[in-house]
Amino acid sequence: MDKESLRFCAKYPFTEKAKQVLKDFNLDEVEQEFLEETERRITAAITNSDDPKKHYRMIQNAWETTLIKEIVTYPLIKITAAQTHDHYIKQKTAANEAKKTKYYLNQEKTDRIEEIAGETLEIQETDQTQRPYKIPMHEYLQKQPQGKNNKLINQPLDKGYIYLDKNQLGEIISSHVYNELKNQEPLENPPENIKDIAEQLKKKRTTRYSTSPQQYGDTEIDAFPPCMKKVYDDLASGKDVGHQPRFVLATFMVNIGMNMEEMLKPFQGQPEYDEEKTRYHLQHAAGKKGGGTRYKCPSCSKIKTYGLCIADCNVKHPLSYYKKQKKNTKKDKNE
Amino acid sequence: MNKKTLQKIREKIEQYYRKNKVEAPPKIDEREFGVGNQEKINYRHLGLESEEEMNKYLVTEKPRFISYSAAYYEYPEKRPMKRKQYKKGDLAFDLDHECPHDTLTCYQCLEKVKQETQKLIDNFLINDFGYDPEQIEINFSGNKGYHVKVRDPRAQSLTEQGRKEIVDYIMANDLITPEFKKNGPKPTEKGWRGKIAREILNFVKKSDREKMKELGINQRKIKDLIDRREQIIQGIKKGNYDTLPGPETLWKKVLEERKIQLKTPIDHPVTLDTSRLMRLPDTIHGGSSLLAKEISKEELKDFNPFNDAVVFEEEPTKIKITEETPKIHLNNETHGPYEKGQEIETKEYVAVFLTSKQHAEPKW
Repeated sequence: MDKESLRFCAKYPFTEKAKQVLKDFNLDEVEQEFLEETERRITAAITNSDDPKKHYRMIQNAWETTLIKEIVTYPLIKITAAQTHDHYIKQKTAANEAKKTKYYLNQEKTDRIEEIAGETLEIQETDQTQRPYKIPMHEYLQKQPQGKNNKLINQPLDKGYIYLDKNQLGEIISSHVYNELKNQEPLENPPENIKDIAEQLKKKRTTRYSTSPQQYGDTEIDAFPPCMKKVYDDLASGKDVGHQPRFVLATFMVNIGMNMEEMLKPFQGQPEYDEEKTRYHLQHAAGKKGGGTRYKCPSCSKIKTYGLCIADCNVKHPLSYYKKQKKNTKKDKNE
Repeated sequence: MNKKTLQKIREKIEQYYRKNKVEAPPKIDEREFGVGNQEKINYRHLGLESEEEMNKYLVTEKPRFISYSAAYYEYPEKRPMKRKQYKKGDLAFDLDHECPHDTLTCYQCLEKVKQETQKLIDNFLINDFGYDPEQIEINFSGNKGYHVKVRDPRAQSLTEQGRKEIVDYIMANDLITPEFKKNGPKPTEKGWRGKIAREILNFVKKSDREKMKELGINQRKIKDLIDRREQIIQGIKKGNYDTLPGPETLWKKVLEERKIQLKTPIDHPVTLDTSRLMRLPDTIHGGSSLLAKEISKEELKDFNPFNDAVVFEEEPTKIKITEETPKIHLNNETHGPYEKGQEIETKEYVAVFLTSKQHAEPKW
């Protein structure tokens, strides 16, 4: 492969062309140098210290050996991040690689982007000048980039196709890269050295999202977000409340670490209150009965879709509202 | 429902299933069933292997309610849910309407839901999402609305996130309102921008004085709009809203009004939650005695459940009225009103209907 092709593969290591370079690559015989690069890249992703512009310039000026290192590192990053079994590391790594892809694509001419899109998407040409491409809606939903702009509702959709311009094409390709890394499953029998790096990365990670219910401390009903407060009050005052809102409230209460007696309280207002049944359902939501998984509390966006959102709280998750609110009341008390 | 009434109703249901075979849903052996007598679902995690087994079950168990999963599982009868091993799920919509009227047979409300169902199918499922009408199954729910299922393989393999995007699209959640300036939305545009432009265009074309006044447009502007209507219409067609009189906020208000009309009320959890069970088409809804009849897109237009989903016979049947009952309309006839305590002899389908609605008890 000539140097220009290698350069292409170094920038877009997820393409078929790059996979050709990787054909003879054996996971069990990885050189130490590549492993170090892998560790460096994932660390850079976690600490937000990778600069796409700098990386781009490096690739533009690189020699063959560096380009090959770049290509080989991609699958290693993918596997190692997955091997950490750590949601945060996987997400950060995926976002970092996707960001670089987006930057590289922005430097390219249209035919290059079309070439890459043709390989990763079921793309078709249209007769429209402003939106010269279209892809099937179902494919778009699989590779949909994040953000309100990219929601299906804000797309020109017709007969199952979404019409796109060049810029969106780039965004979808980069979102495809994100998904590829994010959805990578850990290997069943990973080589020892990869396992080691994954372990080290996990240890190094300092910032983490804690999902432990203990962190929320004593229960404060007044700090509930308006949607949860409403369901809570409706239940307590004996109003007819559907299954969905009941379940959502249960997941919320479980996740802020309320104890069983506290959680039973609102349900006691119901005319057909059955303690045993309610207890069972709450234990189920807490993962102590049934499938054994503690149910996550749905995000604001989901709560909106369920039709349960009643206020504009400026948060993305009911749990963050509660956390914020509790902090505020604590401050008030101290003052 | 008391034991005796329930037993009598289930005898009628049994008679129906003895005479009428019910068609099994596709891949019946991968579906979970749920049945109930006192409640809609008293027992779920039921597996039925074949159409024959299902029909045998209906005759021997004569459930007052039977539902099945939109989902397809490797092991539909295993529990908890995780062990069922989910394979895929029909894209399902449940449209209904809480009837505020004092009647047991509200044609008006069901007609409204029917129009929404048609809107969902024509404007969204076929026109925007591009689903093949052949892959869309429609049935009357048996009581208050309609169920729609899309059997397109790509729709069946949608993730929960994908289903949420579909729901948000239909319900206009998170819609970015376009700016009404020179480069505003054109009526020929695809997706919601086109829908919005067409709605405003229609509004201007109609120029309904009352409606405009209601929205707070003052007399002078109304006159201006009507005088220059043709020019404004030509402007909107090119995506130019500069000719529209009134500030942008006003037109956003018009749009808000229109937007809701375009929205389709659907019961979102059913669409999002593939583990939910829905009425098995062509079975009896034991809360109304009407058939949850499967209908084609063409039949939907003229479908009236109070005529077309009535399945019981005309033979004289005795009941005692237990609740004050206003007039009811079934099979193009009017029956009642009836007083509480009244004992009457009426047609079988009226008797079974009122008993199922718990407005009467059987004296047959």
